Amino acid sequence: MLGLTLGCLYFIAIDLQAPDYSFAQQQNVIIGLAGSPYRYRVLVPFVLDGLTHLFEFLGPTQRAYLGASLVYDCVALTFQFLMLYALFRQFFSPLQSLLGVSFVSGVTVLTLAYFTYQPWSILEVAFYALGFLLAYRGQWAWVGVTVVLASLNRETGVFLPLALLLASLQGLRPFGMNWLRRAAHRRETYISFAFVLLSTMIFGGLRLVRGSADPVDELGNVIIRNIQRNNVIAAASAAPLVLGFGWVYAALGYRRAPTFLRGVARVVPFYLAAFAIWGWWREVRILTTLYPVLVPLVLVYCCEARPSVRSVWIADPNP
Amino acid sequence: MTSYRFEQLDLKLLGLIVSVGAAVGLRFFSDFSFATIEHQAALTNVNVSRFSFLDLAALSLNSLSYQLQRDWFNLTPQAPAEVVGLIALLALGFLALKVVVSPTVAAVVVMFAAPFVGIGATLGACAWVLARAVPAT
Repeated sequence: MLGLTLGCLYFIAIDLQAPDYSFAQQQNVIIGLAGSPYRYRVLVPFVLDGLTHLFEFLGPTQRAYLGASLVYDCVALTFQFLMLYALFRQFFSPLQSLLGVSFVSGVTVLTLAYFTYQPWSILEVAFYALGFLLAYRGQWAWVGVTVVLASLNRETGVFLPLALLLASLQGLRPFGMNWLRRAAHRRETYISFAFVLLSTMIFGGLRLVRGSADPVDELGNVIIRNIQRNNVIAAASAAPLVLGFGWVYAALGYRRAPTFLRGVARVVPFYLAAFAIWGWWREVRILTTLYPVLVPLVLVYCCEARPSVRSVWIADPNP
Repeated sequence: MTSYRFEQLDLKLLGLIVSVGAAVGLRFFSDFSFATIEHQAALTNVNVSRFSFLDLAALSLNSLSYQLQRDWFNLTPQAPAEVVGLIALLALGFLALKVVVSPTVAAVVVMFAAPFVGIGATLGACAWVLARAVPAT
């Protein structure tokens, strides 16, 4: 119900905002004319294209595309909430997990602003949650499939295996040759590292296959736009609000969190650094990718975590 | 008579509810008034001198679109009071609910309901704008 409601709100706020522009963007990605990085975010546009063909009974292609977008928004947001719930359940009771999902659904409403066509962001959150869940339960083949999908979805898909790699490196101090040797022998570490390489290869492969494209936004323009007074004020208001007190709770919950959650949280500085350089700061939609990392820490602060006994994560001593 | 207890967990959950209230409030109520809804009706040629469910649906959809698509950062003078009002409503709802259910259940219910409060307020205000004009005809 929450997924359907948020899906409808997403459709009203984003897809109905500039339907002609969104449709043109979609078509440009499909025919390979979109600028970088949109040309390489292929998964959702092709899914939407397939759905558009299914909805041709609605009339003109553009109307069919709107119908497809509404269905996609609802299904993808429902999938996102289900995956977040499944991830939270590895550490928390059903009620506590529901608390996390209802919190996410509430703060997500704020992020539906300052962008037009970015449908991949909904699935990205779901892929992160699913990837973490599968890795935590040791289902590495499926983690590989998720990494492939996340990488075809958006270039930031690389942060998923990176988070797992960083999580797998816990408890290996002191640094040195011995550290490297022990890391190389740890299953989680070498598989995660292979997935980082896989994601990087998909990143490069998409650029080879789909050809080089001029950037939609030059980095210099992004930086200049970000430091304009209005944008700084808007970003300074929006970024704290995207989690509200959740930012403080996540920081306070970090120390008490299960090993796995603390491990994947190591990716946050890397992700925020990438956001600070390439992102438009007021477009806090980009920060929703961190929900599967940060919201479990929020729940740790509010409730007591009880890690699942099904975990096979090597660095997680099951209680 | 049972005494009302407020524990540390309640304060933590209240923090989450305030966060959700601020997020929902700012997105729905950055420019929310009867005058704005009447303006939306005029822009979309919805006749406010009669009530019909078709008009209500059209006006509600247009008002929701306007509210969700506008720059929420640019608040109208009445917006802060409306956002604070929503936060207070959610907080009071939580405090009232936790008398009969556990604090976690109360927090889940309140946060789950938050987006629906925004939608409900818009639908209600649109219905009111259409309904109050009916006697004049």
